[in-house]
Amino acid sequence: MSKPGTGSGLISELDWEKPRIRWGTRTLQALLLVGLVVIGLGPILWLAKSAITPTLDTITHPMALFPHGAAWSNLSQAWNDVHVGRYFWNTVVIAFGSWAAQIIVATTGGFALSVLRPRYAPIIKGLLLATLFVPVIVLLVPLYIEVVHLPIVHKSLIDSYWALWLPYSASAFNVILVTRFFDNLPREIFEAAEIDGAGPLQLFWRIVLPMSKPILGVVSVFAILASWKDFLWPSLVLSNPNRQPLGVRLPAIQLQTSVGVFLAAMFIACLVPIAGFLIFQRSFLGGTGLGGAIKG
Amino acid sequence: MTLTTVDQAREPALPSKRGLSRSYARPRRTPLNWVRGGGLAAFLFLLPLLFVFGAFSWYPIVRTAIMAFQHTNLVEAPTWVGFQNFAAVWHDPLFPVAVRNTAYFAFLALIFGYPIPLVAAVLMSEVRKRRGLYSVLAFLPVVIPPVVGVLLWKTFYDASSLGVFNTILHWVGLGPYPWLQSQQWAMPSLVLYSTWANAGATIIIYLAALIGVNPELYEAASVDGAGLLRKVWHITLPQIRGVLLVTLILQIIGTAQVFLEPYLFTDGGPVHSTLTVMLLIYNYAFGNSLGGNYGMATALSLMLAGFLVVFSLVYLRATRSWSTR
Amino acid sequence: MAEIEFNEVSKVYDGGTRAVSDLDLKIEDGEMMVLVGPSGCGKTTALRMAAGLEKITSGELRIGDRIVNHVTPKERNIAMVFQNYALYPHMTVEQNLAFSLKLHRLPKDEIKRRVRSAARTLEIEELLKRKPRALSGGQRQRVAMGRAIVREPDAFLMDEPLSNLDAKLRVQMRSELHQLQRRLSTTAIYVTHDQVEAMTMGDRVSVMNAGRLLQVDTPQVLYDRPADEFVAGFIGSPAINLVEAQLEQANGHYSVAFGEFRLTVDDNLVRNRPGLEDYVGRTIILGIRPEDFEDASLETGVPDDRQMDVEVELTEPLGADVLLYFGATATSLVPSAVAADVGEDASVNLGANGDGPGPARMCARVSPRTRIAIGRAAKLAVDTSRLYFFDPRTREAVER
Repeated sequence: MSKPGTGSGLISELDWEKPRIRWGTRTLQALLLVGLVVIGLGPILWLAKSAITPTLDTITHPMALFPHGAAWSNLSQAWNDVHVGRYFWNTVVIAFGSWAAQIIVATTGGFALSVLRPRYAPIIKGLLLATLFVPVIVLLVPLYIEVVHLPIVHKSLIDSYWALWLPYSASAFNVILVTRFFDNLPREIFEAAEIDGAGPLQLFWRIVLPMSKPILGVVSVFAILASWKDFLWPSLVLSNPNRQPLGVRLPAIQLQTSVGVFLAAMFIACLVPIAGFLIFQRSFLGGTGLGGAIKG
Repeated sequence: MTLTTVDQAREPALPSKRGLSRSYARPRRTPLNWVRGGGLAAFLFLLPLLFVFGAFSWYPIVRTAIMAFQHTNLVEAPTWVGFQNFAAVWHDPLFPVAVRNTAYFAFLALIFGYPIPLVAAVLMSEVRKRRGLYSVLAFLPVVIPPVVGVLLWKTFYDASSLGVFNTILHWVGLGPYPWLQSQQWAMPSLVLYSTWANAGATIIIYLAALIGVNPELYEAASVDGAGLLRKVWHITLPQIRGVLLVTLILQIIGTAQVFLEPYLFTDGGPVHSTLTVMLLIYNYAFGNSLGGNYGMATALSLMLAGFLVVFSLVYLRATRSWSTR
Repeated sequence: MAEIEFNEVSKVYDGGTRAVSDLDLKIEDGEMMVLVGPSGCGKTTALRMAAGLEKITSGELRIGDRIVNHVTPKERNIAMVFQNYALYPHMTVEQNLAFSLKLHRLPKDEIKRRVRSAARTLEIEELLKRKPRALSGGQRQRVAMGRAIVREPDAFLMDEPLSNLDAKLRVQMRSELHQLQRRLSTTAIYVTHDQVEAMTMGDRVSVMNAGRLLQVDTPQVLYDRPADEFVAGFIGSPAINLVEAQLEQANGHYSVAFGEFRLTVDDNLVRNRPGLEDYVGRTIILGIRPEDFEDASLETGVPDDRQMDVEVELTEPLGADVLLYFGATATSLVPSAVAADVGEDASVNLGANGDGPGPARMCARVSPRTRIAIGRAAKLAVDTSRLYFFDPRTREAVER
């Protein structure tokens, strides 16, 4: 592993002294940076600008910069008249519920599989692994039918947020990630706790969970982001527009209102993910799961 | 080095299958002993997982397999129809179109989304200061909700004066292009968006792998006389081979299931040029014209899933000998 | 074949840390020079500067008669053996050995010849087709050596190559390595933190601490005439006993008094240390190596003024010797070499009774035939021709 603040080791210190290498690399990196700003940041900045630009200006001169002043009213109109505020709130509630559900299932399941290790644990682990390999589409239709008409209970979950929270919590990826993390905790600590007199519940609540902050951070971040981004499933199971999250409403909003207000609504929909990303960068960029999966 | 000796000394002679202290001979298995031995606790902790997965993951998977051979409407009981659904899908004129389009999308997406992030990541791995800035910028499009991204790019692609792309191209005397309205350009437009939205994640993954390469290997290669390009060829690429292979298969699997882009951008049009398999499944099950045909939807789901599983297995087999360590 | 010369070479990192300060060192052609010191002393940094893996902040580095400060490793014609071997994991042993030769575009049969020859020398011929992950630690170490040998370089640079092997293998490989280097008569710089390795392997040994070179000499000279208290404490195990003592002169003879003991210094030693004169009547730091003690009952003709009456607190039988630990009511010093390695734990005194530091604990190494046991009073003879004296302020050896 190379140290932070230095390169990956490909270009050594003495290589760097050669002007051709130093300036060649710097130029390419600068070009890359410009490219990233334009491509990565550009569209978002345009959206931000257009969210507060009057519709007419956006339509006629999309690249102009406030030729007739800003239209902050777009935002308030979106929030109130087009009820973006309500949809935003729906999105928050859904995200919170799915976060809670995913954390509960992943930690309790991971704890059982990794720490308590009942005899049948390998079977469950195998099932989880197999689930990972099954493409998501396979679930779609039967899950929908099930939600429409729950077996045994004979109720419908349509328009209930449980139709979202419960399926989201069945994430094999989360469980495997958390199980792996628990596997890497030193067993001696559990043995010491056992000797000190801790039962499974205390072990879980007082020892394992507090030690798991890093992985819980990663799981949380991805859970909330995934929930915020999801479109297809919420659009299927939430038929009442008042219950729908913002993402699902956006296409409809586009048809209902002017371009300016629509773009304002879109911008509001972006705010939480972008802010969350900027604040919790480390969890996103450090824990993109895959690196650890390959190494381990 | 001393560490390994200590660890070896600690390893018990009998591997302990059970998690906590289990070094004594196991007493007779009775329900009471089971509870005492921690079995109840484990089961209780597993209840949330078992319930949720059982109800919303495993059961639906099994049902798909069943429904593919049935005719279902939500009113009467389902009837068995054998392979009828599969035949109907196979003979649907839209089926080969969807398959072709999906392959086309996957192919284009791979061309753009696979090597370009690697080049970017290599450049980024040698940034000494403010590497974080690059990472944040690259990853930003990934956190944008796809709905927003797609609809935003839809305005970019707009043929009227609202369309940003045509406006910009007009400045350099190019275009205007029909983008989403042309059968020829619609799919590439989708791929362009998809690359924008997803390349950042690939860059981050590559970057992590690149930084994880043992710098001593580069040093040894320097001492052995290797120049920059040779170091990339002989050290960098072999060391990140694992990540490269996994990213490739994941990208293929992901692009094979593309739904949102064709649905929101063009709804499969114009003239089905962006109709993908996933969109076809959606149309079978929930679409306006075809909808309600759960049998065909699940049949096609199975076909796609089956193809992906077989492909993955073949892929894993073929690349097993290429593991890094 | 080439000499390597460091001329006031320094390495300063961006934050201001001085890893190496004004290193002046000349390594002769064909010599095996060992750099030894506690971790962080700069020995590895010096080695890496010689290899071209670290930039030199100031000073001049020569290999042969070239100044190589800005010359890349490739062009220095040196070979390096890394502590963790750095074998290319995806290549076979044979490919690992041949890699650099291919890069230098040697003809195929020449590459083959060199690889076979190196493999034969290191007894790794049966391993040529294997990959590094299928090799044991010792085998990997030999492949790493092989990679260096095939280059037929001007110099070998070795960074603690044996430290990842287990103890017995290390001892065996030590002598193999040294013989190999002798046979090839290639200049070599060998970095280690183990003073036993340094003493056995080096033609000359450089002792470093905190980025500075303290002394460079043959092993025996380092042992007999350490330049300062650090070197004295670093070479030799168990470490030298250090106490504060009063130097006195009476009737033309010198004696040292510490705690309840008084020893007469051998006249020959006094003659060879003219500088001692300045310390008469003052405090001086006295060093006695454990091996310079002996059970007085096993020695004949030792006068009383060269004996110590001690009460033994602990014995550690080693088989070939016995270590005795006893107390003295004198102010002892922890050798700074020990403190550098062990840190604050070096001065821990478990079980001392509350206030103040405990008595000095000294160590003696005596013959296994001794009958001295714990708790009993004993008489120890001291070879006072082998006492060490250090200035209490500068910690340098009192020589002339």
